[in-house]
Amino acid sequence: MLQLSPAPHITSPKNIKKIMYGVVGALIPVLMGSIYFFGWRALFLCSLSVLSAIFTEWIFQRVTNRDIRCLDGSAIITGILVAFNIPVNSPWWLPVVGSFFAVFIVKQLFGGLGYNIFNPALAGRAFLVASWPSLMTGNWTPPINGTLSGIPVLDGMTQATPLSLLIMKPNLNVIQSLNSPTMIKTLFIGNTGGCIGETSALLLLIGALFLFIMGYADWRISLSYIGSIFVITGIFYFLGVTPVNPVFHIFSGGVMLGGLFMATDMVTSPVTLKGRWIFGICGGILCVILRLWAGYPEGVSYSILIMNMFVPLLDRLQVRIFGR
Amino acid sequence: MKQTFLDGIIKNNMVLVLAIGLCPALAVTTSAYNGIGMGMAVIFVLVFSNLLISLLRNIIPKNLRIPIFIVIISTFVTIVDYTMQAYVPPLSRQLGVFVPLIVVNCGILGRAEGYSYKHPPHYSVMDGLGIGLGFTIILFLMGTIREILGQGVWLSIPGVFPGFQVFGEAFTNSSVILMILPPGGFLAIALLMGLFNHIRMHK
Amino acid sequence: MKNKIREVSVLFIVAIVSAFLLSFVYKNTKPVIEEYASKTLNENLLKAFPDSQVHFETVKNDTLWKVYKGEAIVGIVFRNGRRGYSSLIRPIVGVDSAGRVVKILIPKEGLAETPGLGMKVTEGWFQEQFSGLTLGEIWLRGDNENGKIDGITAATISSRAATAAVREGLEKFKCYLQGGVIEGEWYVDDLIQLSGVEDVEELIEDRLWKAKDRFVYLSYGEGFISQVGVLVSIWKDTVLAIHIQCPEEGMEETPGYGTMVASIEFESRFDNVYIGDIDEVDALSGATMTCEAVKKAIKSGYEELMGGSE
Repeated sequence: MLQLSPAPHITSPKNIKKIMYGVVGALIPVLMGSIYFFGWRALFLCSLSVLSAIFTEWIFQRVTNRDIRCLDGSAIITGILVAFNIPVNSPWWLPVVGSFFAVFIVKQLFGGLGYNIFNPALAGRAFLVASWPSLMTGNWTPPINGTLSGIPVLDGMTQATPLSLLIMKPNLNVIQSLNSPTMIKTLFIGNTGGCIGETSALLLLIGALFLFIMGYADWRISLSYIGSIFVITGIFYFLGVTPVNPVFHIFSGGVMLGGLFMATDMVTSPVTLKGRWIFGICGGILCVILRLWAGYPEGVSYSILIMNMFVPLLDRLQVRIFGR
Repeated sequence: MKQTFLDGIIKNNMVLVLAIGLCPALAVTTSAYNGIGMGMAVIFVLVFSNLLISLLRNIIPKNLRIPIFIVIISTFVTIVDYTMQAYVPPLSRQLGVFVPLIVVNCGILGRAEGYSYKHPPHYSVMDGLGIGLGFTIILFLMGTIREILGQGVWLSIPGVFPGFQVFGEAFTNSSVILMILPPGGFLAIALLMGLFNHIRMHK
Repeated sequence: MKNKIREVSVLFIVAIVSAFLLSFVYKNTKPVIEEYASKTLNENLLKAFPDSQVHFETVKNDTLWKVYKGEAIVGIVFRNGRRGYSSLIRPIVGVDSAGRVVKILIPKEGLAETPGLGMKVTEGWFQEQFSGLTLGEIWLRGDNENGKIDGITAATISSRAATAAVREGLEKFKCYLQGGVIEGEWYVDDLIQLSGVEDVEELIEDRLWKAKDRFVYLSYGEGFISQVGVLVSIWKDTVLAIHIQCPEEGMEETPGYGTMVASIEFESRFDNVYIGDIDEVDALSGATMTCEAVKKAIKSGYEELMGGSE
């Protein structure tokens, strides 16, 4: 049980580069969107993050006498995703440190690309949230042409993103606004407060569609992850456990970013189809539980990180069934 | 005898090689001072229990040796506990329940059973000193890593000395809090173990 | 046989020697430990009520002290707890004779809030905000329009709990400031708090009181170890609030388990609960028996005392 069977090792460097730069390309529209919503600082933080990721990888490979592969694209993706996971108001060193942790501790120390157990960018985010919680969870800025909560009426009342409004036990008035079609539209376009790259469901979907068509990511994981969140929060909505509708749940916070770009990471998701369905569904269940009952407003990052741990087991489970 | 002492520090290092006594190592090393304090308490208990067990090794009946070991060890642990509560109360509060828990530190019972029950007193004392010192050094290193990164200061002593500012005040105000949380303990121990094994392999 | 006696006698002798050694150490360290404890306590009390001419007299151990200057009472110091994000926040609060907070002190010991967030309640600037405030002002700014406390960014739960601990403690203990001391049974000060007014009419001695708009009754339930007293204020068929006898008031349930029910957090679960729904209130894990005793006490007291008055 303790033996880890690492995820697929893509051996041909040419292939890796193609896929990795494909993913980078898919992230470009989201990046452009975030510049539109939050200003040039979003690009600035993103560049710092990418540079830090590449530099860390280069130093590590240099010192340990390995092949220098810091430009194969994977470090760039990690850098972009770390920056996507922090608020735009963060100090410059936050993405730098986050990317350093993601690449050095989570990726290279475990053996480099293909051997890491956890998604580096998400682990980097978890590290940042635990280390600088006030910068990561209490430091929101409204988008340039919008409001923090996405609902103009409420903005004078409270300084909160849509999701943190939800955890404050809002009154009926607020809940009604959260459930309104205007709110859903704002969330879909992404004109609300949040981390740099998580707000626009539309742009994330466009990027992900490209990945699915090219076969660089598996739609099954995204569908089962986001779908199970939708179904469970839907049931909870009708049971009265959560006051807001399931559409709000899947468009708010990091569900789209996590479900489309992080859960689908080839290295840290299961190899087999069945494993991928289980991975996505369990991740979705965990995410809802964390979101509704844990201390932080959001649960996406931890749900995927926890499921990352089960990937070797899910792979083994599958192999054993086939072996019989 | 010198070899026994050195073996205790490096070849049989309690944390890095034998991987025992990890619980206090992870729990109390939020600062270098705590690490030293815990290490000192363990050295005291280890040296005296080793000495006493070694002296009595011909009298202690084989069937009843474990209860006798435990009584001897817990006596010294309780002495340490009361003494710390009386004379270094801030440290005693910081270490909390982990001082009484030295009783069940498998390192100490392990040395009693594995070493001092079979060896003469002067060797046993040397072994206790070596093992204890090895433990203390690692706790001190872990405490140093975690305190410097997690609080931005080094060697702070509560109520006495605020500690050296290592990277300046700006860093102290936004230090890596994760390092003084439980995950920081696991990270520090993993990095130290990795480094230690790397050095041993390439020696 | 002879061998066995020898073996056991070795263990016996080791144990005896150990016992002697330990009693010697204990005897010598105990006064030093106690002296340190009382010194720290006095230092903490002085920090909450900084005045070099006063002395403190314990009313309830670790909970309430009266502050004397000469013969006159010039204030109180109390300690009240409220559950924060991950631990109990227990500020030590000094109150002057006018009912104003002098200073508060939140000791770091035993506090396990998130470092860098909730832990900030121990910082000076947060605690200094309380100085000089009166009862109505001890709220977070966002929670009440009279509130004068700025919460800690991203640590609302901890700052709210610290503020509530000060406010509710002040409400509970302020009666000790007026008209000297309240002597009597354990529930006397709680009775005033639950009735909302100071003059209550005693209908049945030590069992039932009538306040302006509500009844208050005292009832006991059989707990895990001892009797657990519960003071209930009730309006028609709805429990308004309850107070459960705490260990300082003579409750003797298992420390750390059964005693946990005597917390504001658990008591507040009964606020505004219909008498028929008492069984639905969630019990505390680890203290099921004591929780059952509390519920039984509430129900039996209601049937016995309120049933007849209709």
